[in-house]
Amino acid sequence: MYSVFFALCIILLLISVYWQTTREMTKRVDLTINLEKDNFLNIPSSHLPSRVESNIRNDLRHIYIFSFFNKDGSWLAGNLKHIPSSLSIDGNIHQLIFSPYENTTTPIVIRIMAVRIKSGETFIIGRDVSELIEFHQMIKNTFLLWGAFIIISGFGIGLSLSVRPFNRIREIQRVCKLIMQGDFKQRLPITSSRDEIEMLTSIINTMLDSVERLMSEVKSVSDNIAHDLRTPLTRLRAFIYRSQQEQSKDNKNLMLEKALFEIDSMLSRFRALLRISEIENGKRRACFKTFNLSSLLKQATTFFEPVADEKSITLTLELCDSQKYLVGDEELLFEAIANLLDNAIKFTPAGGFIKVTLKSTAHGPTIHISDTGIGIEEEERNAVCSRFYRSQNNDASGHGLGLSIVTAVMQLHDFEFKLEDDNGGTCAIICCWSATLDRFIECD
Amino acid sequence: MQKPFETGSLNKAAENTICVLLIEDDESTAQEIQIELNLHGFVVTWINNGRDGLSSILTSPYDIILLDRMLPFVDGLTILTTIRKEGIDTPVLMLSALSEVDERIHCLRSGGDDYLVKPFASEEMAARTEVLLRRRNKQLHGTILSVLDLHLDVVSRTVTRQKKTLDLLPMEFRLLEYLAKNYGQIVTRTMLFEAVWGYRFDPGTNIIDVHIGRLRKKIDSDGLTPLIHTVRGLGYILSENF
Repeated sequence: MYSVFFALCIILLLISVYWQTTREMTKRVDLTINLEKDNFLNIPSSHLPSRVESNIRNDLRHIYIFSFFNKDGSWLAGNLKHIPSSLSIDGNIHQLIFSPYENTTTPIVIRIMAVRIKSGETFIIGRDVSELIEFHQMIKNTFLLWGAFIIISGFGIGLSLSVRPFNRIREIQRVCKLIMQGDFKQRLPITSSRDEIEMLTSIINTMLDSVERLMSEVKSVSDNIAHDLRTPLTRLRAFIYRSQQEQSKDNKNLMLEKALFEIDSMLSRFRALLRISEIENGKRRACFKTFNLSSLLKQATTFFEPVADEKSITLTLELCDSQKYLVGDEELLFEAIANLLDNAIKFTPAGGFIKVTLKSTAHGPTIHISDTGIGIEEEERNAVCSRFYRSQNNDASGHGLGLSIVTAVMQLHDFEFKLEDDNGGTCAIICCWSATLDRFIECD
Repeated sequence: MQKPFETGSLNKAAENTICVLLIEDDESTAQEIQIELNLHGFVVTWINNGRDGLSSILTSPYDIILLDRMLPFVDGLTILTTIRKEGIDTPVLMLSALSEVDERIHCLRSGGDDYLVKPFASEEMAARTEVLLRRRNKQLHGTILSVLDLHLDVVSRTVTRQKKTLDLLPMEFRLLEYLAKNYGQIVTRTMLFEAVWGYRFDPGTNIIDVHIGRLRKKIDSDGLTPLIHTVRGLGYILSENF
């Protein structure tokens, strides 16, 4: 943008200089002609022929035209033998191209004026401006040549100077991506240059130090709460379990069984909460490796096929490629897909269909899990991914953290995850490529 | 085979008494573990710090070690690496409050045989202890695993019962194989999921139950002695007399 502005300024400057120069030079020529006109008007008409001849003699460069014509237009004196047909006798200066001399037919550019005096005669004053025109053309050519050179070299130097900052921006972009994925230990690169980018980098690094410290404090508080509540609950569970074991088989206390069930349910919630916390902290990124996504989907559908079959739901898998590989945490992605399939089965009535599809797009593979279930209202599609949120059509079972786990896993991988309507049912879509990098690519 | 929940005699000095070394600094956790393992007929020696625990391992033989990760004086990981360097191959079940995957992998690579995150259910700990002991005893070395009239060939991946070949899906075979390798011992749903599918998270709902149900329909069809039993609140057991 700045380069374009620079080029426009150069062009305007050169045009302005050219125009001012040519205009000034023409103005001076016209001034000379007008001065001569004024002189001629002050001379009695009887003396004009001699004055005309005198001026011609004094014009050593032969660039001026002085002529005097009778009332009927016949020539009386001067170096122009006839009044040009295209010249108006109005006392104004006109620029004409014609051949004024008898010994040459080469037309020249002349600024010329014709004045009719009171006695009816006409005098003509003109100046050959061919040299001026040539000068104008020379200026124009010079400006064009050097202007082009300045603009092109300006662009070239500008581009080469912007490569280094651009590379720095790309590096900052890469680090920011890691930070956005949750790795708050990353810092923007510092170089030795003392420019505005460096100042901004320092400020952001300082800010990240504070953010990392605050996140750590908040995380440790919530982790401690969950962890500290798990331990006494587990002890309580052990106590109830022990009491239950001491009963004979014929005298089972149902209340103890229910108590045990409720505690197990609570412990499951805490485990899930801590798991989400662990995933969100990005601690699992160390387990990223290349694995076969097609095999994982096959394994997941095989795992859930009996459950779907029990509910008379048809579960199918469609793979675009049996050897589609991905870099990520295989176990977490299996867990995410397991949660989605679990939800699909829960909310699809008997006789329904669930289809898992692996598609290939220009950006990368996408996973679609679509069902013919009860669907999710549009206004709830974001909310259902929040912890403990239950849809209006909620199912009493489960801890309400399944989609939160899915969201945390997708954020760890920087994959886009969305829930869409599918003819009344729901389609969960996972785009298995870096969402952040794609957005950056679009901005380039 | 001793049935679970029968109180074992703590005064047994018989050669086949299972001796467990528990190195755990938290008293209430240690007591709970002792109670549970005593019920399984194991003799438990409890040491509450790493230094004495390491010394005990180096001087006395044990059938299995339950080792806490964070211990006073000498931590559990150091104990583990030390005893493995000494050539002691006693199975070790690590108990740790650290749930990170890296930590678990580190412990297993250092020589641990299994890893349990605290807090844990007592029965889960007991089931894993029994599985490690079974692995140690190497009772099932052959390629044919047999329970009553059920025969499972791990090489040809075929199963027969009363000489009739059963048509099992690959996952069903793996489920049965794991149950058979731990014949007579309770295995929890978590252990089954981990061993058969290779993942270590709570699959939720009753998915494992459904898979077992399908397997049971094929293995324990009408008229045959039931072999796959559900242990309420715990898991499953493959046994002809439960």
